[in-house]
Amino acid sequence: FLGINDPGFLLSRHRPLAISNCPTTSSDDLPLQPLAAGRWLRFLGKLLPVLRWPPQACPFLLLVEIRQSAPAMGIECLVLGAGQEIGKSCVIVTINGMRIMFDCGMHLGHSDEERYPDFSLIDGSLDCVVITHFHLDHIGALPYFTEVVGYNGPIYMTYPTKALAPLMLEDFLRISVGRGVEEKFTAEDISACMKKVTPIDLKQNIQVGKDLQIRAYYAGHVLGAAMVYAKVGDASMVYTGDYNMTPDRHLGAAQIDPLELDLVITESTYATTVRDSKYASERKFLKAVHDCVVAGGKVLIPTFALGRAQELFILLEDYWERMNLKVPIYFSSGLTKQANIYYKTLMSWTNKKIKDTIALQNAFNLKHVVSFDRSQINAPGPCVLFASPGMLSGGLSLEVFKQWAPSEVNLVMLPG
Amino acid sequence: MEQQVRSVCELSLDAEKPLCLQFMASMRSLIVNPHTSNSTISSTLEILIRSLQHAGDSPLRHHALKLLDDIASLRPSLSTAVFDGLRSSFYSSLSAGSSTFASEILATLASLSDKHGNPEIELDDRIFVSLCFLPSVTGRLQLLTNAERLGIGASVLFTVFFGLTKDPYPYVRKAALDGLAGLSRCNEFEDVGLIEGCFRRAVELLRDAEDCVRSAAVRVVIEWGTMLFAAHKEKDTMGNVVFIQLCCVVRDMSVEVRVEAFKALGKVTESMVSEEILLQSLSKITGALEKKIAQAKSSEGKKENRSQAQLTSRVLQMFASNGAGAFLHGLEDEFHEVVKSACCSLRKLVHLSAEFAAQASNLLINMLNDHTVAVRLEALETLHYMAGHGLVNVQKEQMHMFLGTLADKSDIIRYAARRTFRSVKLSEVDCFRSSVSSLLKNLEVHPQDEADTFSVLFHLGRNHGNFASQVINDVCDQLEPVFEGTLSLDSANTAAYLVLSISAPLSKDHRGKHIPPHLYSFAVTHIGRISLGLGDIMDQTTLLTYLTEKSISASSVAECIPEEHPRSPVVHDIPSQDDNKSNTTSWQLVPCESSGNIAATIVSYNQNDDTDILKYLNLILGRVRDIWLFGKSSCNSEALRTLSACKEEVSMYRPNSPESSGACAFTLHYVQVLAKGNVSCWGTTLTTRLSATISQVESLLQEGSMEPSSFVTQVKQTLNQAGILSTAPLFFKKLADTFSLGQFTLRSKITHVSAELVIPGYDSHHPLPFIPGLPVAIPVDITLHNISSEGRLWLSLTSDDGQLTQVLFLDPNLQVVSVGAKMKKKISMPAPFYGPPKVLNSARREYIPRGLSDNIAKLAIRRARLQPRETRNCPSTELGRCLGLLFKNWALQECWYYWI
Repeated sequence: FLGINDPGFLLSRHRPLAISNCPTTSSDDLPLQPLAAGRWLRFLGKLLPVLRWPPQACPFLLLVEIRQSAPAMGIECLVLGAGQEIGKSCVIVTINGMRIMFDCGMHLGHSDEERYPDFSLIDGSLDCVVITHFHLDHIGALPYFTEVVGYNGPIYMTYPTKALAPLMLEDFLRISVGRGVEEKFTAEDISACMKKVTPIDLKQNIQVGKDLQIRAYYAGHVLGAAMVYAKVGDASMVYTGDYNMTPDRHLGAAQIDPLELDLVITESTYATTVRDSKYASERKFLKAVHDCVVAGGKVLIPTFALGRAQELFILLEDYWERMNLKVPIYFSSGLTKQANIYYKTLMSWTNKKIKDTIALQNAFNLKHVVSFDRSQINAPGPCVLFASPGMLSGGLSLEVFKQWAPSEVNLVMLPG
Repeated sequence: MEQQVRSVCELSLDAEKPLCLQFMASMRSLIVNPHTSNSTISSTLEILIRSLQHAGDSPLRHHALKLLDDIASLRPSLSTAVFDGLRSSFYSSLSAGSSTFASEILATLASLSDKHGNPEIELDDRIFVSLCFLPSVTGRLQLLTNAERLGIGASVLFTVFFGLTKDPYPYVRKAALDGLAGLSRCNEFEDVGLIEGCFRRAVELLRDAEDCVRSAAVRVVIEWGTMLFAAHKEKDTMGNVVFIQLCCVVRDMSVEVRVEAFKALGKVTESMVSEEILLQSLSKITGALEKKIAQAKSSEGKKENRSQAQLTSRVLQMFASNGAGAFLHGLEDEFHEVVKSACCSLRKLVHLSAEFAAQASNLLINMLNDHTVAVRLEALETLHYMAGHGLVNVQKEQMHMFLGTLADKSDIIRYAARRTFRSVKLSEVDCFRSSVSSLLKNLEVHPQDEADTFSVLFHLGRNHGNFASQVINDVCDQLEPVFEGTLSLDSANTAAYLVLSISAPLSKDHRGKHIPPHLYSFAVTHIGRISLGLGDIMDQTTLLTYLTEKSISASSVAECIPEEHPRSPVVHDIPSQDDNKSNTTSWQLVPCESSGNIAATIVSYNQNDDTDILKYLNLILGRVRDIWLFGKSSCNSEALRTLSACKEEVSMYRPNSPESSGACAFTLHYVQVLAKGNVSCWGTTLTTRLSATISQVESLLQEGSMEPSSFVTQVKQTLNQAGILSTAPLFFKKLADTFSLGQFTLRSKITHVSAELVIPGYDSHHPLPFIPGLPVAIPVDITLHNISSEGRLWLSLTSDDGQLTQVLFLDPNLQVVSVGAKMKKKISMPAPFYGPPKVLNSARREYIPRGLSDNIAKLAIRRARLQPRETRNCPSTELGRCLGLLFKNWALQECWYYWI
């Protein structure tokens, strides 16, 4: 269900500098090369790129720089998912002989074999798996990969990802069972898989084996999301996963050191989408909600339990507090309640504004947001309800939608 | 210790022995000790200078330098000696080949030169250059940092700085860039090639790996970019290039660089950047820019200006990819420092383009929803600045967010929001209505903001006179005392609307003329709270005179307004000297924010002018007369509430002179009596009281040789009939209905005669012990106001059961213990009270005389007969009206305290 935000991968090559959005003065154009699933791409030092990225896409595209002095062994990529598609992010990169799997996601748009990356394409062993964040399209296939396929090597992810990923996986499993879909892994597999995970911190240098060094950088996007720097010998690369360059209500913007890289693999779902001010969209959102509740209506906000829900909680909580509103805000999912506890304890991963105000108040101590009981669906009076699933495909959100939609004073907000 | 150190110094001087660390520590303790003699310090100085020349490469030299710096700082008289000694040491170090240490000495010399105004160090250019290129990194850094104080020529400095921007050490690169930024201010460089070279180098270093270097490069880009813009043939292009280069670093990973970039953007001057580029810095959407890039590319093919077109095309592409929406990024930054810097820049750039200002204000209004107070405050500060320059025009769809700040939970935000509202321009009357409505709502939730809210309403009304008139005319009915049975004259909302009605005629557009005049009369009853809110605009006297003028057409108190006041007041935004030439009243509106701080300066009441006080009180009395009419029309409770508000107004006044005090006391009492007027009592109680009142009135009239009014006569007749008629209450009711309260006007001075009686240590919980059959001495403290020594004073004490009353004659001449100013006397005495044994049932009981409970002062004074020496002008009609209105008042006799 996270398919909407899924990255597709595009491959481009960039000459003058590394990942940061510095300009290039080259006027030579070369077409961008998309990464296709199951295809090996080899980058050698002698294949010097001379191209420029489209202006509006610069922060999102896959940028590849191959230095003149790149080693003869080069870098090889095997894309097992998210190449020219949205979902099941999984890329295997071989750097100077060391093989790393970045992300191990599942495709929620498929229910057959296509749901999981084709691990049979992996030739030989992996040195490590690095997971960027807890979304299922980045971690969904991990229990299957470790417990069914049999991968037994090191797995790295950040502390928040390790904390929140089991919640997501178990929730997914519960929903699948409820729909009668049989998954390839069980709750025990999730538990066993998570035991194999080594949590890492931001900017912590992790030595894998003798030659491979990995380091995580803050990516924004969701709590605990990381961009991963990997270096073997004198060849280095960055795999971004999903990242945000603009801070949101609870997370900061992605941040990385100036690095000289040979390869950057980055998500590009919104490469050509220009998003204008977040303040304007927040203003519209709040006005719509405010107008509705003041007029005595009910607001239904179908959303997923983790990530966007917390961002909107903070947005409404802050607005309610400032405007001294008394209308109740409900959330429906038990998963949300559990996630809120984690969010409260992982404040160091939020943005500076949240951290600055923690001395006064923990932003995740939500005064106005309380859990919802099904019996309250038809209770009189205005309210705001966050209900899952976010795509109104079933569950409480659909049930409430059917009840509330006929009344014109009510409002349904789809935050995406 | 001083002697010991001194002897060691002498020994050291003789033997030229190197100093040890311990000895230098002792020297330091002597240097910092203010009691150390100058001779010892001189010896210390000498040995330290010598040690610099003979210490070789000893690390102790650094300590010696520090000690010398301390001597120069703590003993300014020796700073010249230190300076000379260091200069000679510098040259000896150079000749000894110790260039690093020579650089250190130079740094100390530069520091001394700065601190103590020692002459500049004249260093030879050749020596400077050779020192700069020596391997010591510290030495280079120190030289570059102090280069401008070493008397080196600008061209040499430029060469060195420019060269060292490529230094492998980041702090040296930073120092070199700082040096270049400093050189831009010396106005010695005119060569375009040189300037462009420097600019390009700085642009190159915007991508340096070190944060501090990039920050310094940003400063050079703006300084040398401005020079390039001034010197270059293609001004338009180069100005845009500079702006775009800066926009491209606002998303740097370093907060420091981002802050510096926005600071630099704020330095961009008018005509340096084109409007479309400026506008693009507020939006990430690059549609318009793409067209421009296409145009630039198409013109690249032409022979003329090919290089120019290429440059333009390249720069625009760079801007589209990196700089578009630069300010948007800055305002959305998670670091408050960056947001603040971006806002500061915006304040400067909004003057360059009206369209830019409009779009910037849209962005800033959206920011008002940020969850941090600091960011909201910064946005409001910027909006306030822009509004002050007429650059904020709030659109209807933005009002929700803008008005939300008025209801913010944070005091600071609400204050800043109101501050912004003072000068904001609203485009539609609906926006104005919703603004007023939000302010009133805010007033309900936060009554503590009343004064500031009134001030904002006044400014809003002045800025939108037409809108204010419309709003007031719409709500005028609600402001009438009788509106659907509800009278709300004493509510904050009413006062707020009255403020708005006051402001409308003073509007800048002179369009707020159509305000019903009686509203100004209502406003007088709120003058205290209104003048508190408008303290930063006009003082209370000015406001009062203004209200008097405006209400003159409808009010019956016109006669009390001095004729010299003009009917059409002149409004001046800033008081001018010319105003003083005229005797006419001019409404001087004090600029509310002369120093950027809009905290209201409350103008103290001008209480010395008795005429003003009488005028003010007459207006209140006129208002009271009106209220009486409303009270008669079965709106008693509403009339009472309004009277209560009038009472508060009068009680807030603190007159200084006895005359004013008397007038105030009378007015207060007059209103109080009216306020009690609805207490109805019929039957024998009323008849008895009215009879007593009428007899007292007759007595008074007799003393003043005056005829009773028709109403008094009528009351007397009714009383005579009441004794024989069973329908007496109906008669009295009819009598009350026929009564109309006349306008009471104060014209002459009033003396307030009063007395206070206190029994020390007595209260209802501790009754005085009393043994029947034995007299008891009750201590009494009496304070007399305006009672002459010739006046006779009686004290009457009545027992609790009412069976026993004893009267005591007081002789003020004998018993006065102190005489204060304003005819105030204090008497302390034991008042004997005797109860015969037969009155009491038991042999011993605690006895509470009546009147020693809560009402004792009133009761005692009620029985005291005060005889005035003389009576002054007392028109029979006025006294009659005064007494007439009291016919329902059981406390009728209190009016005897006043002698007109």
